[in-house]
Amino acid sequence: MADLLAHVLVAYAVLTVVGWRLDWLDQQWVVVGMCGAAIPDLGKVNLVVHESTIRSALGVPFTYAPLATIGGVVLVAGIVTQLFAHDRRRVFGLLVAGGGLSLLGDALRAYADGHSEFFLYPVLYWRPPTPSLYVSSDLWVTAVAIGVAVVVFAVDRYVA
Amino acid sequence: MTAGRRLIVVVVLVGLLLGTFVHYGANGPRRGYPSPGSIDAEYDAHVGETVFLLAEVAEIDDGSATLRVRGTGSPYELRAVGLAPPITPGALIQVYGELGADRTVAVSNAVVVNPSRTAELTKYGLSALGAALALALFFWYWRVDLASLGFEVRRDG
Repeated sequence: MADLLAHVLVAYAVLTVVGWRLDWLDQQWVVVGMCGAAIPDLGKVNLVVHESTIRSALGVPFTYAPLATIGGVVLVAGIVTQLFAHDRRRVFGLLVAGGGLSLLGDALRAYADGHSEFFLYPVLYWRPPTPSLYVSSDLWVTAVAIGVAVVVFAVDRYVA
Repeated sequence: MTAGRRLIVVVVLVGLLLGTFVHYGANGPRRGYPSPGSIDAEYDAHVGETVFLLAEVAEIDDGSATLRVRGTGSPYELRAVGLAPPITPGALIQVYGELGADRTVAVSNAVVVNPSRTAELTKYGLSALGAALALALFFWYWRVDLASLGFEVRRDG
């Protein structure tokens, strides 16, 4: 999606609406899914410690790219899940759901050759075709995410 | 599950994650285009090939632009023809096209990733805000419980 704020707000909106049908999915669990939505963006650590620095230090090929794939989301979700005292299956499911929503949003971004990233690594080495709806710097995407999240918040608080 | 077993699971999963970082770098999926480093090092060998590049627009003249190509090595310059406006110097763009002689790329399609440095910084700022929002809400509802060595729901959460 456009940025991490949009990812987190989309996860909030989707999981809150799903929570209207699932009694156990209240806000304490929705925030777990929102944190899961941040997993594919962990690759931004590249801005702090560049992968080329690690490549040089270790002398092996190295890339953070798997963090923005379903394989990376599942592994990071599994790691984070171990930090919870109880209900770890539920935590894991919500982290993966949040991360999956972010990957789905990223799959709609524009690419010059018409295909998005290898999101399904390591299951499939395939770049799905993208509808090229936006680029990561499009502020209108964030604005829409904020608007939807505000509406969902209001309905959740005063109607649902 | 005891804390010890959870620690073992964490160690195993961290090992697997680091393994994917190395595996992807060594034998992971590739887009099928020549790499930016390979283009720079062996330009003539890639003339006529289709390329997909990430580049900063350095200059724009009549109908062409100078691109500063980003890759694993040092940035280098290519001339791009066929770029459709509006593209301004300083923009970060994806370029899809055919590599021609004299370090020129004939652009079939281009996507402006960041129209300016300001747009890029705004994107990072919003991402930081998103991270802060997620963490703040998480710790509003959850706390660290030292007895169980894990996150627990706040009773007043």
